[in-house]
Amino acid sequence: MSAAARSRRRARSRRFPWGPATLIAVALAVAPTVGRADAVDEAYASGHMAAAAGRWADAILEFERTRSLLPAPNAALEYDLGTAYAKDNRLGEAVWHLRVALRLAEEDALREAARRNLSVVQRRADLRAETSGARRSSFDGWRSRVRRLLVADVTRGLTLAIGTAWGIALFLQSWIPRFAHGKRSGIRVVTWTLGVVFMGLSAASWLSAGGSPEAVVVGDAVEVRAGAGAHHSRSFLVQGGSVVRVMGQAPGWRQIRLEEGLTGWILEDRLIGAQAGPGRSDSR
Amino acid sequence: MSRGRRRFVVGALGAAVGGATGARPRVASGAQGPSVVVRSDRRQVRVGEDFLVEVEVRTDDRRDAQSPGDPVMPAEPGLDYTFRSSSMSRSMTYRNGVMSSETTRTFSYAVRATRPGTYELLVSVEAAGRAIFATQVPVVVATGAALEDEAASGAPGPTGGAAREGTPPGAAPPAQTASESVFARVVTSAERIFVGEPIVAQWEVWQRVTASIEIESLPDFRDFFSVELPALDPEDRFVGGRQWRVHPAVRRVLFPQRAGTLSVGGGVLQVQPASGFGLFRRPTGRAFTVQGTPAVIEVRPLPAEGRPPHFSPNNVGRYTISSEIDRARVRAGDAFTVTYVIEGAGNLESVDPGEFAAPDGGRTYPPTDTVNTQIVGERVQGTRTIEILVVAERAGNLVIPAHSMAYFDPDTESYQVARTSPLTIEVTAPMDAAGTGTGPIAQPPPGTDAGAQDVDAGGAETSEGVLLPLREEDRLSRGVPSAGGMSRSRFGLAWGGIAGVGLSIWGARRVVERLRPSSEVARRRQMVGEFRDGMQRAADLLDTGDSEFYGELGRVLRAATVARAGPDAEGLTRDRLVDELARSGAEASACEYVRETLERCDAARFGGGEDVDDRRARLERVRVLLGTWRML
Repeated sequence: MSAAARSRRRARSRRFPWGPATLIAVALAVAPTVGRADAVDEAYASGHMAAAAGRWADAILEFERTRSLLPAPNAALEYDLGTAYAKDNRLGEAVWHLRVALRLAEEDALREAARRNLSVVQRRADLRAETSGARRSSFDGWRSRVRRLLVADVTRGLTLAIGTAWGIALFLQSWIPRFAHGKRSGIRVVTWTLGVVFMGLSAASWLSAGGSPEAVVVGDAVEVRAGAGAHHSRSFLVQGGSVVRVMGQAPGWRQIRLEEGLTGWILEDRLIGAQAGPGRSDSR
Repeated sequence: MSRGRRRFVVGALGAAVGGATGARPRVASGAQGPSVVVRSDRRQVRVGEDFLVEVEVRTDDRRDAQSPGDPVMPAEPGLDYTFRSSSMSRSMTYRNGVMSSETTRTFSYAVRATRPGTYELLVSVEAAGRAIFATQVPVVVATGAALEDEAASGAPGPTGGAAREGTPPGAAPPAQTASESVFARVVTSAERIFVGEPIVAQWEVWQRVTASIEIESLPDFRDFFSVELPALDPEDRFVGGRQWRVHPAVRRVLFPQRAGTLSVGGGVLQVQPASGFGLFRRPTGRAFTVQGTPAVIEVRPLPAEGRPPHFSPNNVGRYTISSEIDRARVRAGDAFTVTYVIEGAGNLESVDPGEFAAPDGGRTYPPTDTVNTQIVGERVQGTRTIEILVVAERAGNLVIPAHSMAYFDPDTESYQVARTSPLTIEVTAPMDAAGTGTGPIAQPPPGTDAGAQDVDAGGAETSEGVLLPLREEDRLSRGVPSAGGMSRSRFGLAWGGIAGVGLSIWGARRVVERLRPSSEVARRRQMVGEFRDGMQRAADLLDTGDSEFYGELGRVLRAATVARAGPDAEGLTRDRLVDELARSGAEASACEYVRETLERCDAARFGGGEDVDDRRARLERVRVLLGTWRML
């Protein structure tokens, strides 16, 4: 290679702006993160501005956009979204998001606010159902309450405490001669009692946690049909905002069960939370 | 049985048989002459309307030598009789060895009442020179106005025009052709009514020849709101002595919707003359079309005098209205139902109840409307129930205002007003009026007390409670929230840990118990330990003197010998112990050495012992012996 050629290559090399290129590359690498963070705040603020102006449909759009940008559900955003849906009289979506907010909220004030708005929305749904003749389902009866109680943290904690006490009693009975011989009958009764309670509570909690998933109906007076298809006869109407159990699925349809036991098929897009349905079942 | 009693029984039986055989002819001959039975197909008729009367005369051919004459109809001035037909039948019976024959003659008459009244059809026949009257006399009641001029009455038929039901059908013209033997007409219960006033219209198809009749088009009720009435069964009517089959094909209650001269179209029939019946029916002649005779009704407008403002012309009839609420007390935000019931006769489905005023302090929802009508006679009556859901918005007494509904009563030809009374319901404070939150969201608005938050702060939203406002965060958390609490997986892990520990404790104890030596082995181990200790003590006593050494060695050796010989050797003397040891299978040299050592140990108590080396040698020998017996 001649000296002239080397000189030209060196000149070309010298002309390439390595510094700015590096900066740009770094900026491009960092930009998505920064931009994403800004987009979240911007969408969230836009939603609140629309809400302040009473444009609830726009507010919902912005909040939904915010939700899609976040890596995980946020309790405050779910509360705002549920409340905006309630203001826009979309009770089904409102019930769903307020329930999510209630589940995620760690702050007492936020939890209380979500609970209150949820009760207001459910009363509205009750009124609408009363005027439209549609059925309501909230899975708020004593069975559902017992089921929720069994899967509650306090019950599970109590179950584990009883299990721990059972383990201790078992240890004392097995390894400490004083308990094993001196008070043998007493410790045995205590051990058996704790063991039975521990196993019983554990089984009840485990069974209660299983079962069919819950979903929320969206829309007003939604038709529920006798089978998976529009050609089937209409069985009854269910009010939007009702909480139902998803029992089966067919393409585009879900089989639901109301709290009172009525079952029927509903269009899939009329449910929120029905994506994780049970195994496929044949439609009639 | 004595002779007297036998005579009495035989006499009684003979009297009974004689009485029975003697009475039978008397009963049979009790009814002298023919019997007359009169039947009428109607009990109540209108004046001018024909009905059928049948007279049945029965004669016993063997008994009644002379046949009776024709029936003599009662000479009532208000009844006209037209003889139609007669028939005769004969029956023969064989009973008790006697053949009897009975002849039945049936005479059929078309009877028309020309004057109102109650008529007894006392029919008689003449037999053997005397009149025999019917045993059962039917009574027919004729209602309506007397006929002054039969010719003036509207006669049904193809050329008869519209005939109002209740007017005498009169004599139809003799049907000479098939087309004149089938016709249709609309009969209405009134010819002059008000707008909205109900009348009954009946489309009748008359026929007096066998024909297949198809309805091409029904009557036209375009200017009327109509309610279907139950169809009546076909019936036979007699007009001018001719029998017609009348089919009431359509029967409706009509509510005229406008004033003027309205007509109800007569419909169109397709008639195919035929003969035979059932499967054997076959057409005879050419088919033809029959245009029904329409009915013309003069509908008067409702009078302007006394008409309430905004009066609906559908409110014609006679109505009452009542209202009630389903509870006496509610909480603010709760709903209750106000029920209005309109009851009466008229066009209930179209009646306009008017606007129901919303109560002050209550929000109303669109009402539900239920109409329940019945056909009673020729009237449409029933109830219309209007339920309004009301949500109480604030505490206090909520008054449901009185409601009034104006209607036109066609009977009195005047406007009336039906009213309800105002209702009061007590509204208490809402259940969650004390507010719910502790954070900034749930704080009651400034200037309002907590108890009034739900009812005062929300404007239009107060009915179901106030939606708390949005919660605007400074910055949304981007983090993934911790699962927190006792999730199912966490609970499962903790449960598994506890259960595993418990089962481990239990299992370990079971394993230990399984591996623990038996009591025999333990006892042997203890024994061996004691032998070792004894041997050690003896070794320690080698230098101290004979008595202590041999005493310790003797105890060890005796105990080992007893253990080797078995439990039966316990407590035996030395010689017997050694014998027992020999019986247990021990070697003779070992037995001899045990005997000699035990003797030496006993002798050591009296002195004159061995030196240290001898004692050590004896100790070692005993140790070897115990080792042989596996007791060290």
